[in-house]
Amino acid sequence: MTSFRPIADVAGAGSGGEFDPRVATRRRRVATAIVIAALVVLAGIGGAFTPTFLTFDNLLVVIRQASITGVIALGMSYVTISGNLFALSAEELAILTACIFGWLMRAKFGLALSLIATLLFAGLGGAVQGGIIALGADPIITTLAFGGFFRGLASVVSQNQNILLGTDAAQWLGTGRPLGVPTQSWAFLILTPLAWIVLQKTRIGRVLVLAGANRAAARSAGLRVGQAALLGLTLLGLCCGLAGISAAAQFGQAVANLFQGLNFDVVAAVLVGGIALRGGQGSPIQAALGAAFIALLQNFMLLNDFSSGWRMTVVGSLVALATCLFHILQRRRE
Amino acid sequence: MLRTSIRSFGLPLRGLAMAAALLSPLMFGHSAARAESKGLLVVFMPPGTDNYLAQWQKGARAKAKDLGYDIKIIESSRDQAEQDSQVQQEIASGEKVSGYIWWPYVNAAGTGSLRALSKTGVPVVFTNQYPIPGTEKFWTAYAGVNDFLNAETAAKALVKACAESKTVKCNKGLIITFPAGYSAGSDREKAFRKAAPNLTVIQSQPSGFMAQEGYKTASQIIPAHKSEITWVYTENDSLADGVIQALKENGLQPGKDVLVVGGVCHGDTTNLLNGSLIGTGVQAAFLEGWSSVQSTYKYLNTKKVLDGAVYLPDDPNKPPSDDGAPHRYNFIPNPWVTNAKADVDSFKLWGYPFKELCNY
Repeated sequence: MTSFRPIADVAGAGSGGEFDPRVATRRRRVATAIVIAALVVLAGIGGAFTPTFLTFDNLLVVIRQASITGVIALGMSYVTISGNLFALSAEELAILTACIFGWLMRAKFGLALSLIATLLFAGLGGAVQGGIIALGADPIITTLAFGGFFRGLASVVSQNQNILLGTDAAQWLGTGRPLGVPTQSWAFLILTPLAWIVLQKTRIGRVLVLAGANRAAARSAGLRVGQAALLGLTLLGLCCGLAGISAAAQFGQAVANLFQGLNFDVVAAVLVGGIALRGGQGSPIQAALGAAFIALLQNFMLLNDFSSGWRMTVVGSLVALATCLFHILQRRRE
Repeated sequence: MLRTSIRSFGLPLRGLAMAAALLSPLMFGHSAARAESKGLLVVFMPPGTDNYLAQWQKGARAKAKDLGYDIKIIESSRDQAEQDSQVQQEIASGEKVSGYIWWPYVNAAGTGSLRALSKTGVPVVFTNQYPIPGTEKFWTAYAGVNDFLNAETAAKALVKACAESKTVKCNKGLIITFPAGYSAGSDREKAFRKAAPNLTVIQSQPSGFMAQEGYKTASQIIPAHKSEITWVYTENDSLADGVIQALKENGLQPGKDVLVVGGVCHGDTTNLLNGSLIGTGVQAAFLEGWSSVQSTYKYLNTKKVLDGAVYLPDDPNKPPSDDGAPHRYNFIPNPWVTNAKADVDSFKLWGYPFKELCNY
């Protein structure tokens, strides 16, 4: 059994001064401040040009739009921070879990059992990928391959047909509005601080950060670096499971064609949030802010009748710009 | 690292998978089985993970089997470049093919592949996407939906429902279309606008094919315009399902405050039967696949194409005959069905009931 030392001791010991937690914290705060400032500026511009933009109703819609991407981006932030880049199977795992949940509900397994089984499967789907990555496989190739596997399996489970749940038992999960706020938004708003607490205040979080910041230092401190990939991917899997359940519950049906473009949206949220691609720096709050920023921008463009071509161009440019900006900022500080 | 990984492994892996898919019939003795058949039909189309396309495939396979042909369906993802690559590989394989059926993902961008297929000398039957003017010499016949007619039917039904409604006076509304670049989407939009010139379009937005995508788009537009929306046209009923949910969340009652028309029965009929949709058009994916294979067969059998367009009869019980030559344009019927349960229950086309043609 390995003992666990404070993050500063471990980083200093192993990295030869390469990783300073205080610097990392400062960088995280700067990145967060930049995204918040960008959100405020965008909201101001949007409000000035579009009368309905800064209404309560519209902001609720924006949060709702950010929610599914945001929940998965929270999980993805763990993967990126742990130094494993991205999981390119998030969209497909969400599709598969939607189909599995739909299938279980239709087969009358009941809501509770269907929920538990789907989430277990989602976690397992993430854990298997994480386990393989922990053994040394490339995270991009591994998750790309599993993406194909999950999509294919979703196609098999659904037989390329709509799986109708055949019951309204799950409807509230997809369409409920406690206190006027959609359930998906509640999940996003609750999970964001929770994800931050896990990363900042728990041993699991510290393993993730250290593995991403400096693998050699983490190893010399007695941490199992491979554990980080396993943990990150498992948590991401659970987030995908929540998204899948929510989608299936919302329309009472699931099909193997859901979540088009979700992988890009999630990666974009992580990058726009300013989480370091090389790992070790960032927080789930940044990913959540990234998702909110993209949703706000998309909403502004939609209300102003931008064509879909322009919308894609703007978001793509934004991701490229954010990646360059944060990369330059990091290099300057080094 | 990300870039290196994808370049080093991702593309070759995808290429290998594609090559394996194309070679597999040869490797597993498909050729031997084909010797007993009348020939091989090769279909290029977007992925069957979309339930409409999966139904199309079922119809095509059923008719090919019925006519004694083998059929190979090469699915691409929603990516024209991938489909172009599949065409090149299929042609390069030298496989003996009796007829190609071509369903591009991006019609205009796929013209190069269409030209390449036509150069093989094998007949090419275009399906689902209405051929682009100027490409006529590259294809033998078109078989499938008439997107213009489909939208026109939906527009007329909406105008009629507006005139008959006691609760809503139709004026301004929204159009939610298929994704940008998917030519069937823009064809339908044009035809809808032309057939309902008195309806004012507040906004038209490309969205997707599924309820989730329709919801994502509509839920953002509706709050800004909820006091003025009186109608919504979506290009299929799945998109309409998403719009209906967004309308309800904004306190608008579909069928009473806002009239919604999808125009293509697709997926679930709950919103049709509860009156949220004013009705639907039976553009049956199964019959479109069936008819595409039949048109190919009719050409192979006669080596002739008749000029002009034909609308295949909307006989409730009997499918169209396999005899004779196909026309240049062979459109499947698109009969309108009201949201009355009795109409839905009694509906039949070519011997298939509504539920079989629409619930998938």
